[in-house]
Amino acid sequence: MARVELRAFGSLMNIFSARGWTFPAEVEIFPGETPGTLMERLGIPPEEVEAVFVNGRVERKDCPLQDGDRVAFVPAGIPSVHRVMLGFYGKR
Amino acid sequence: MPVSKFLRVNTATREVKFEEVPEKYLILGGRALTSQLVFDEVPPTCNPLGPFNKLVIAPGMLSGTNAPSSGRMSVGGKSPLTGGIKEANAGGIASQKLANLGIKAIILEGKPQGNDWYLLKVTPAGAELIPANDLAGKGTYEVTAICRERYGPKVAVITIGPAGEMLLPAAGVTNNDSDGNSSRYAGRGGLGAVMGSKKIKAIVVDSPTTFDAPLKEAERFKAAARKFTQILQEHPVTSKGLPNYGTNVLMNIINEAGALPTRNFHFGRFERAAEVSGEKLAEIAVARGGKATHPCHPGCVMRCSNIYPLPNGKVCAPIEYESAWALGPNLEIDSLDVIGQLNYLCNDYGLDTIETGVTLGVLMEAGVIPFGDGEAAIKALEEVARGTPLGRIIGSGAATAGRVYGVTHVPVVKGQGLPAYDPRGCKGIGVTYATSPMGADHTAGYAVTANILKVGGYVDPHKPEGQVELSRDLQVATAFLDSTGFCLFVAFAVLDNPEGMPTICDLISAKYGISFTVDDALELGKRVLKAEREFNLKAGFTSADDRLPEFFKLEQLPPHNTVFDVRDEDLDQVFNF
Ligand code: SF4
Repeated sequence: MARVELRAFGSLMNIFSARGWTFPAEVEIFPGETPGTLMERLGIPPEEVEAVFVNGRVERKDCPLQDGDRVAFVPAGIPSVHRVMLGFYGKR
Repeated sequence: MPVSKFLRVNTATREVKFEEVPEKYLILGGRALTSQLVFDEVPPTCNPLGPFNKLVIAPGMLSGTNAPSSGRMSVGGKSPLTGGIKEANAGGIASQKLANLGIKAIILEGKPQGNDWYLLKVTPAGAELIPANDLAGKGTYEVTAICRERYGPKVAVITIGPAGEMLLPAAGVTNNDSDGNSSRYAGRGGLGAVMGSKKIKAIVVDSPTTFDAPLKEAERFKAAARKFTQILQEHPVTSKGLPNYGTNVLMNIINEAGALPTRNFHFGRFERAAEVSGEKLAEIAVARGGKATHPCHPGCVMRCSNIYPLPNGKVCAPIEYESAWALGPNLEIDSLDVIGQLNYLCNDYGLDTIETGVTLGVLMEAGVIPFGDGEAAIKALEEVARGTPLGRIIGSGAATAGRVYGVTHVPVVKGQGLPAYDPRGCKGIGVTYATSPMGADHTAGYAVTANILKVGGYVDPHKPEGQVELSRDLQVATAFLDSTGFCLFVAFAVLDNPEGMPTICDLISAKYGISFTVDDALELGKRVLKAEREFNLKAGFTSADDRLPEFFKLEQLPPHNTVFDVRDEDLDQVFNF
């Protein structure tokens, strides 16, 4: 069974604690899963997710996920030059 | 209505005088003004602690008005840490008060004989030097409390701690927030030592007003200020992200990106980063009766600051990302309480938190203190106040500590410690660290303007391509924003809203009764950078100074296993404009 290690930051972290998830959470993924479908399946409002990290790189929400990936959801509203430098804008 | 003036203090003769502001400086403020004055009046080859250096303190172009988040202050001079020009930018309440007194800049010059300390008191009635030997040796919190008791509970106190008195090159200049916390630092580059060399322990600023600096076109200004407030309140970063978790929300994010310098820049991730993150900080601060959100000066709508109650009954307000990183993951320290104590001590002794953290990292690398040992770090830091040899090494910065202990893994550029982003994990910031006239400086490339979006697109943080152009544009925009008095954090909203920059320009036009365009803004940013760069060239800097330390090219940074590989020839193109 394929799984990813999932994290979420800032206000999105509240979703984890409200549901009693561990941090990070081990989440099962299905064939063809992407960060976008994962969000939908887990009931995480996509408009609250500004950027997605997959294995430490900012990726698009439709990038295919693999077994063992490290995935993190970044909420809207993170400051810093990294909005540009890490690609929050470019990979939207 | 106060007329705008310079307050010039000759610390050798103790003459204090107000001067009319020459035409060429009339619309300048903040960094544009401090850098221009330093360029015009300070010989670049002078000894930073000698009679020819000057300390210039200037409110931003819009400070003291009701434009939101515009109360930032610039402190400038020749840096004893880098040997080049320096502008350090601080929040706090002094900037608005100075602007309301019509003071465009305070210039401290000359070098006094003898060992007596003075306090400069500035009120609507004028300015005077008052003997202050009784304040010497005291920490900044106590000095601020004493001054607020003596001169009124609302005065702003710009002061230095024992580190500045000892002329240590990591000493900063601080001022207080509305609650009297002397924690709003113009920290970088050792300007506290310059103030110490002038034997000025504190500057007390008393102004009855905060938002009434003169406006040439009041109605137009008001409308633009309203619009700008709205722009900030509509953007998720400035309305939600910063107010909820402050800048330390970056801890987890930069860790995730693999660019969080850990164990003196050996790793890009810290396994226990979440323990010292902004999310954790907010949780603890609120549980202990502190605050997760707080403005550093009246009129800030973004409120990124916080109040963190320490177990010993004191409060550290705020703990910012850069400080939490420098005193946390950089040292493999995973306790916010330890970080808070170290941060408080830095504030009290008058030390830059970033330089101090980077220096402690070098000492840990040398084996003087074990990595991860918070108690040992606190003990070592306490030696600064006592002026022991180890304490003085800590207060002298990472480059000096590296030399004393024979460490080669020393993360500095132009003698200044690198802040909280590893340049191998994010190469654009590496370009800025290498080339900024300020030495390795995170804020130098912090701002982003609308024109980036047009030319921008996606620049891969792990590849060298495109980084030079990106860094150049960011440095230009930052130099401008640092001059306005606006907190750099407005940049996020300004980037995403096409009306952002024009509204800032509208505010400047209305305040000064001129027509100031977006092109003028970028032109001003470029002019500031050029003056700073020319000062450094005359001080003896060459392109060899625009480089990162060798180890960033040689040692791979996990988890992405990248090195810094932007070519030297390309770094030399940053100032090609
Ligand atoms: S956003 Fe933070 S640093 Fe900037 S002015 Fe507001 S409280 Fe101060």
